Amino acid sequence: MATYYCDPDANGNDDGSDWTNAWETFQQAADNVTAGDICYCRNTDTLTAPVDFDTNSGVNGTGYCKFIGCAADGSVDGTRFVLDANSAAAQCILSSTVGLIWLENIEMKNATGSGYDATGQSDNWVWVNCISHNNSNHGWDTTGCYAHDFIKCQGYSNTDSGFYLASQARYFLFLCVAYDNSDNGFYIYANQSTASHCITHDNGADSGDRGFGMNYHSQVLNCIADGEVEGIYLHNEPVRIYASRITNCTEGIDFNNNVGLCGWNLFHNNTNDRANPAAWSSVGLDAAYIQDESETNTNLDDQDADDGYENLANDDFNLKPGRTYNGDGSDTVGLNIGS
Amino acid sequence: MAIIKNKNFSKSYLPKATPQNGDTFQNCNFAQVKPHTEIFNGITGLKFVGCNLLNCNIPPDAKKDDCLHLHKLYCSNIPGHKLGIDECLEDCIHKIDSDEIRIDGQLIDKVNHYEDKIVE
Repeated sequence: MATYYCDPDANGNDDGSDWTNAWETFQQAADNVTAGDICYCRNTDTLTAPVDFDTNSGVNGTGYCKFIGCAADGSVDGTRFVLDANSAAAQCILSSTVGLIWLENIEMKNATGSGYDATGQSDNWVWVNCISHNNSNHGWDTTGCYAHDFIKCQGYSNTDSGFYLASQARYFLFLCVAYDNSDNGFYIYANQSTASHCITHDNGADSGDRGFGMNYHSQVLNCIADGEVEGIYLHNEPVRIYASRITNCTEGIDFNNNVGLCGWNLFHNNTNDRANPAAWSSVGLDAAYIQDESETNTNLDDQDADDGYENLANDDFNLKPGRTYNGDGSDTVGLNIGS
Repeated sequence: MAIIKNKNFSKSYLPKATPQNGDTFQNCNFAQVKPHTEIFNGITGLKFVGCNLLNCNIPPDAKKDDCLHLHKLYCSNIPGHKLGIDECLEDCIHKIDSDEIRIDGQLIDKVNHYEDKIVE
């Protein structure tokens, strides 16, 4: 249960014992922090190779291996520690073998591949207030991993997807934003995954680019999809889509002929609110109301005069006073995360 | 001299960007599918800060700070490849190696592996 420090601008003993003698590379931190330890990190590590998490995992009952970004004075105020791949390193963080890693207040950028690239046994990672942007592939890229949590994270201006969570299962995203990526916002091909209070907007313009792509037994709850080719796409079924705003998309929800259980959503100014099938049905269960035609379910189509956002031109997706997710006045929760 | 922030001008969105001389782009995505795609030819004094300039050739006098700037040649033999790239032959420069599937010494199938290449 030790406390360590990492600061690439430090010039001391390079042993991580305090800010003066902080580790000068994040790779040293990744190699030496063990379960239950915390490493505080500040300033910028300009990388020539990926930081490879290949040594220590957290341990159930002992704790995560924690890495927390700090301000220049060492305070934890949301200031992010920066991993800059500088158009040279293939990734900012690479992992294939370790799990139970906690990263908070971290920024990853300018990788020639993805900001974070995980495969295999890299399970149970937690990301809090992290950003991954301007990478040549995805912001986050996971294949074969289980159970990553993303809290208040952003993936933007990546050349592929903001969040490319290809497999296996149990990803949870809360208060996350994906925008201005060249392909998808949240491409989640992992099963049993949840996006709650997340926003996707203005990602790729090609056919097949989508805001939320969801797989087996997954959920989209209280989310916003705006300005996408496909706001929400169902890779497989069932996907539950509740209390979300789907606005200004070409296809609001593309069910892909899968079961989508929908309730209390609002559709506004989409070219087509729904596709494959376009019509609601509770018979074929392709696109079902949660309660077929009941008065408590309001999948509303174009009921509002405008999209209801505070300032869409400036990507402010907070709702105007009195506006709600579903348009019927029963929900006044704002996201307050913007982008 | 406007400052244009947080916009996606990648791929087919590029024509949406109509900068004037001296404009600054901050946190914008200009990534293109083909290496050395010329952007904003003839516009002078542009500045790019924190932008994704993958596969972009920016005007010679443009300044850049903290941007992703490299060129990547995508391979059409990779499943799910980007739209709009040139068709590759089976034995293209992206090929890394091949797995030969043999039964009783007889070649049944060959699986080629490819990767996108960073180019000059």
